[in-house]
Amino acid sequence: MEFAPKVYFFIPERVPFIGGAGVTETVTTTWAIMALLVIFSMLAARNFKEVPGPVQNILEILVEGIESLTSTTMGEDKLGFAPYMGTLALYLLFANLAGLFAFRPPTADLNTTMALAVITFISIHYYGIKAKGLGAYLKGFTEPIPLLLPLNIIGELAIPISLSFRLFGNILGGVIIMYLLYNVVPIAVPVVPHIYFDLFAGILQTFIFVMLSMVFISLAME
Amino acid sequence: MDSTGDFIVRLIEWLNSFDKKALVLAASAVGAGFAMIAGIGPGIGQGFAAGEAAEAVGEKPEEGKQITFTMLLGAAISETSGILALIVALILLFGNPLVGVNGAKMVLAASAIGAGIAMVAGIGPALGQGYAAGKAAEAVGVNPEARKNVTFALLLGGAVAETSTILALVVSLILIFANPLGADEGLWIILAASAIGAGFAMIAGIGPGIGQGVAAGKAVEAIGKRPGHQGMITRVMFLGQAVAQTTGIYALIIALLLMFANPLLGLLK
Repeated sequence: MEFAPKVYFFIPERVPFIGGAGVTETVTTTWAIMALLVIFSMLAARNFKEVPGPVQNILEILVEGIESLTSTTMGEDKLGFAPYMGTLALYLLFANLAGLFAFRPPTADLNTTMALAVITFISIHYYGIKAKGLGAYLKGFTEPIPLLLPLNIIGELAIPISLSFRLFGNILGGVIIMYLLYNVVPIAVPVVPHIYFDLFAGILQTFIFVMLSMVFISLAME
Repeated sequence: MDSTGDFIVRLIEWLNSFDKKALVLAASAVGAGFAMIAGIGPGIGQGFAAGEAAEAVGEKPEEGKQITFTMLLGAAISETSGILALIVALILLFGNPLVGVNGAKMVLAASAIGAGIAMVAGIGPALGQGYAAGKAAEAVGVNPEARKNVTFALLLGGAVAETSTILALVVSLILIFANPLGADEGLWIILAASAIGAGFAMIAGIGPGIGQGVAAGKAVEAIGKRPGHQGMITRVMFLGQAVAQTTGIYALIIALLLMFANPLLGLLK
């Protein structure tokens, strides 16, 4: 499987639960993105002033953008989701664009996308139960007709599957296509497909994943 | 009945008599041909978009540039399925990895055909996205100030509509690059049939593609009329598109089962 991520080292067997698992370039690239985001946040947030300098200005635009997107999509009262959605958006943005920097995108690994989709799935049902109460929430599955119960359940399961596979397929498709293109013509020509597959598709898929998560979570809470 | 049975047995024996490489390459040619059927979608979709754009320009010539731009953007989105199908076909013809894989030659040949058949799913999303593009061009003509909201909704709705082609692409790429059936221990005819079955299953993607595209088009039209309600309209569009995706997910699950957790092999014993 030539497109599988490279394994860098294996966790020693004696570690409980995860012993023997391989640490792939997906995990190490994710560590790099985490380090980038955390260090940047810590450095940039150190000296906030009343009258912002250039870096603070950009950060304020970013945060206000995320907050306004969250409140328009989910509702004014759900602004508490903005930090998670912002983090998700930043991680996905860097992860999808990693292909531009010769890293294998972590989102080209079904594990990453499935993990994020499962977080959304758990959030949907956790916040749904929290907002509506267990009884009303379970009753919602029998709407509009109790006969549709199995279809409703499968429909709910389809959400994390479609979220994860959509992102995975888009990014992995881009990785494979760029790899094949580089084998055929390694200079100049790949620029345009890079712009399309990495930049355009990467940003758009980030958007889609975050917006769909926001919409599903807020719909579950209504 | 006997003569048909004899014919099929003789056909399969004749195919089996070919050299492995020749058989896989021949099947790749068939698969590449099947994949290009996806061209139906962008053709119809982009044509519809062009027609709507022409009509909109006729109604409001001063907005011609914006309308044309919106139409071209939507047409480019619609083209994606055709391009992905073309890429699969080109991989089968020029960079075919299946020739080197260990496995029964009939299974690998069937995988090449299955990979091509799966890409036929591209018809749906392209059709739907073309419809959405046409509606967007019309909306920009009717309400030029809503252009940004309309374009935004077109991109979002179009991207979700693309899902079915992407799922088909995943199945196709698995069959070509990470073929699980060659390594399986089992009667080759079941594995070969499973490969083709997985390809056929993904054709279901046509439906959600068209439906989600129609949803995007209607949402875009509504946003053109009332840009202030974009948030609410987009939410309902997403919800509807998610429901529409379900049968495509059923198909994906069946395809993945056939490839990775084939229940038919167990029944053989």
